[in-house]
Amino acid sequence: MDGERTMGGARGEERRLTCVLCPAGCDLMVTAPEVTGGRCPKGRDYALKELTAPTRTLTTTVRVEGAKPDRLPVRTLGEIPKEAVRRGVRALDAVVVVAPVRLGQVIVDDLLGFGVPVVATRDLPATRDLPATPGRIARDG
Amino acid sequence: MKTHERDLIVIGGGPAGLAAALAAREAGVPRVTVVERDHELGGILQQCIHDGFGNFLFRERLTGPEYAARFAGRIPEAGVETVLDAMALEVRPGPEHEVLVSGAESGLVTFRAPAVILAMGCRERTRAQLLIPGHRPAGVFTAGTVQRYVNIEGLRPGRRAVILGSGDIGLIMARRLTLEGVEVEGVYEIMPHPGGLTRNIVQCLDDYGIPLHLSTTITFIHGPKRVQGVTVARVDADRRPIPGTERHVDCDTVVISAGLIPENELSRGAGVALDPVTRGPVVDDRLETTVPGLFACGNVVHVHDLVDYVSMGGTIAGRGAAEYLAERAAGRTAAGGAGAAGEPVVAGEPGAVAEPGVVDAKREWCPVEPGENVAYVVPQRIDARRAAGRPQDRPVQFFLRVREPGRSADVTMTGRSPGGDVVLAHRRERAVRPPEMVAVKVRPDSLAPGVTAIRADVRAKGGDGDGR
Ligand SMILES: Cc1cc2nc3c(=O)[nH]c(=O)nc-3n(C[C@H](O)[C@H](O)[C@H](O)COP(=O)(O)OP(=O)(O)OC[C@H]3O[C@@H](n4cnc5c(N)ncnc54)[C@H](O)[C@@H]3O)c2cc1C
Ligand code: SF4
Repeated sequence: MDGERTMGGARGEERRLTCVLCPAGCDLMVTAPEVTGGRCPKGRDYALKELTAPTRTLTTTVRVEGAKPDRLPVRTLGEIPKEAVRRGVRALDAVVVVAPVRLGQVIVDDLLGFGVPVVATRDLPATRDLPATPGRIARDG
Repeated sequence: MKTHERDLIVIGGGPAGLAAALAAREAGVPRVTVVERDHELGGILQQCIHDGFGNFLFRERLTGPEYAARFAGRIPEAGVETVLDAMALEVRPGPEHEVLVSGAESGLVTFRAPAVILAMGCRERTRAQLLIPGHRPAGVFTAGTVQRYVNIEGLRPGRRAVILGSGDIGLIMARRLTLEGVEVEGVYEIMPHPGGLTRNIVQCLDDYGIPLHLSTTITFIHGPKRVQGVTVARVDADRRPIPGTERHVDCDTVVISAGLIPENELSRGAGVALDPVTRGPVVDDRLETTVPGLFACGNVVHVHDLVDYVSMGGTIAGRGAAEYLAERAAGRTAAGGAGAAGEPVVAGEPGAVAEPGVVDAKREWCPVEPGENVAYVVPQRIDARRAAGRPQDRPVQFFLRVREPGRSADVTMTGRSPGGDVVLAHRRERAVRPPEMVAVKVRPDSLAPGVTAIRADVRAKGGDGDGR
């Protein structure tokens, strides 16, 4: 079959999921509330949540004034419902921040009312604050 | 032209180069300089705005820029000099290696140092390398280029995209483009199994209902000016398109995610021996290449799936360079190992360098060979005596990649020694897949019985590591 893959489809009572929390990507077998196949306890929590109320971390960029490049990478500090990720990204499209920005600085207090803040994931100095000679070689000795 | 004297030059300020520079400073190397062609440190991580980095080293799911900051932030206080906007053009090996650098501010300068670490990362396979027939229209990009466009420059490459290849960057970009309002029609993978990590298929494709078509490829790109569509077709076991399975897909953008190739222009010029399988330098237990004093780490050596391993490799290379400099100061280079302390090893003048490209014969190299179901193992050779003399908390770190997926796999490193074969390390992996590297550590004391050759084998119980 063209690209057919076995997904988390129901197979009797049992469902199979891939835990996405870490690179191990464990295969989880779920017959709620039993979860097997996880290499660590987080897999169980993930599976049960995934089947009832799945959540994801959102990452995107927002526009910045006074810096180059003029995009600032941001993330949610915590997770929001999976179905809200697209809406969240669209809401952040409208946000403009002014440089300088510090890593961890709160950009939005509460995204879409889920009680989860959005923070900057890097420092972005204002263009005017950048050293004029970035590639200076120290004097020898 | 001005010449600057240093103890160690690191070429590339990505995660590999940063970890190497920090480790070398910690090990007491006085003058360490990182040369980076970009205007900031961090390498490719700066454009990887998604999360999932640093699980092993920090037990967190950091974004690329956050991970980069963990290392870049320590650089100034560690006393590492960084030269940004500066491109290394050439590495000339010698008793003191010379690195020719073209800097935005400095112009053309030479750095001279007894030790150099190559940490230039990798580059993407392009359409030309894939030989896709058709027009040469605008709108064909590599996944990394699209990542830069979208995440750094805030541009949208098109309206409707197809993705060729299911490598991780392509999967990540499928999700990213979808979130930015670009319709991703599907991902086409010529192989019967996906190229990227399973978790990326789940969280990037399945989450957004993007189909993955395995054993399918693009056979024609339609133009002429801007991409107007592609022809896709199923392929047979020999990856030849099957007549009659062609289908036209409307799109204005083609994103190519067909793998990465270590960046080794400079290494080649320096006469470093390259491994035809990894396409990176042949390295030893301290990540020294075949040219003494020239080290390599990160994606230059082989393409890594996890940045944590890249940083770990950087640390090994940084410590290795420090060890080399100490040996050199003691007049013991290009001959015996530091592990053979007390043994007077004299070979030519201090700091003598073997003919570039020629594997120096004076060391007793213990070759490391891929055995059953192993595509490659890095390092390709070790100085077993030297490694055996290191403290137990500094094991030899091996990375290998399997050829075929499998379940319940036994990963075994076997050493040949005068007393017979010895198991140096063994671990059980639940599943092994070609895209995922397997990391194995060998304790120094296990090498003590005079190991002369090492083989890596992966023996799986079940066949299908892909069955999810
Ligand atoms: C798109 C993408 C997504 C990824 N996603 C993940 C993930 O989710 N999780 C994870 O763990 N890993 C991920 N990785 C892998 C990880 O980021 C890389 O393996 C890692 O960044 C490699 O580090 P490096 O230092 O070897 O190379 P790089 O980060 O590429 O750094 C090399 C540096 O060298 C500089 N350079 C090159 N040539 C020269 C020269 N001649 N002179 C001066 N400077 C030079 C470059 O400018 C660059 O800064 C991803 C990689 C990519 C590309
Ligand atoms: S179950 Fe634990 S080890 Fe397995 S993928 Fe999830 S977080 Fe990682």
